[in-house]
Amino acid sequence: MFNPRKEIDFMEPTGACFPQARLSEAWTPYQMIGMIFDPPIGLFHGTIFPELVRPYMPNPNAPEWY
Amino acid sequence: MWIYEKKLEYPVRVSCPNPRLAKIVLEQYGGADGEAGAANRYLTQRYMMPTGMAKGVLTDIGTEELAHWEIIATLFYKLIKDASIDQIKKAGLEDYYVNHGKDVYLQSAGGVPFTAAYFATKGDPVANLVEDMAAEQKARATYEHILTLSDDPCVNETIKFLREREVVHFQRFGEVLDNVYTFMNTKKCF
Amino acid sequence: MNKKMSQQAKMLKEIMSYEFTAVDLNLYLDTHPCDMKALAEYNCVTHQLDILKRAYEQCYGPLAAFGSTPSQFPWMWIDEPWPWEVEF
Repeated sequence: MFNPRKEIDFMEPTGACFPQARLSEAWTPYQMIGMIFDPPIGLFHGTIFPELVRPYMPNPNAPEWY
Repeated sequence: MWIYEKKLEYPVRVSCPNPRLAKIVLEQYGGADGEAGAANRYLTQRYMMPTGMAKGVLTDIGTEELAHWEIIATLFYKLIKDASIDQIKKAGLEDYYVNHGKDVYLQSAGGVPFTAAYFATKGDPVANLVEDMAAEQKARATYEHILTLSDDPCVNETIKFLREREVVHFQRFGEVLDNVYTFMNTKKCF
Repeated sequence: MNKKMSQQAKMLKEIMSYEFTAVDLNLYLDTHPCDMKALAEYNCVTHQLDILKRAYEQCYGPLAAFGSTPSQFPWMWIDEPWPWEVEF
């Protein structure tokens, strides 16, 4: 039979995406280092880590009031 | 203590005098989510952090924010130093000029003087760190608004650099938050 | 004068790129203290940065005061340009 209490116990400790993440806590995955940019390229991008590069792209679908 | 290094973190360039843009970038000098607020937020919150990692990251990011504060002041200085009175009038900066001349002043783009009310110390490391993460996102959003309003590609290089630093700082604060949660859970178990 | 300025800016820009690499690695190491690869990179960059800074200071005076580096005669710390005045 369906036991609502047990269902809640099962769902409580983990978030939807990451097994480590818990409900009602902010959670960022730890970065794993790969290759890093040469110094002048890193300065240009604002980080030496390619995986953290997030160039600014104005969203073309943003509503007019946004 | 702190030791000043006689160099910028990033080579700041501007194309030409632009008092309008100078006033806009002031938002990140003394505005609510600006670099002065960020540096003071982190350097004030670090004292009661529970782990060495949290104290270290707040010290280091707080110090880097001071370098960003200097970058914004440099942008302002370079954008206004050769501006004529006519350009200043046309850009609508009379109200700024009448009080400060071409000096930089710790205020927002809208003229509100900087205040400690822009940041918190909450006596709770999780609350403080989540505020720090929000602060990085708000600063990133402000930089994107500056990019939307800017008409100087050289200024945009510097603004894009500062914007990317907010992304990296957010990642570090997220990792610190995990470290603090882990520390607190360990304390609870033993 | 102008040529000297641009050489100074060039040297500063190279120092900036190495020091920025050190800053970004420093923040990474703060949250990954056992990452040996990142630590090796950090130590390597620190060494390069030191060479670049000492070469710069020979020409343009100290990059840091309060006892960080010795100064030639006369005291060159106050020499212009200050950081916000350098044209890149």
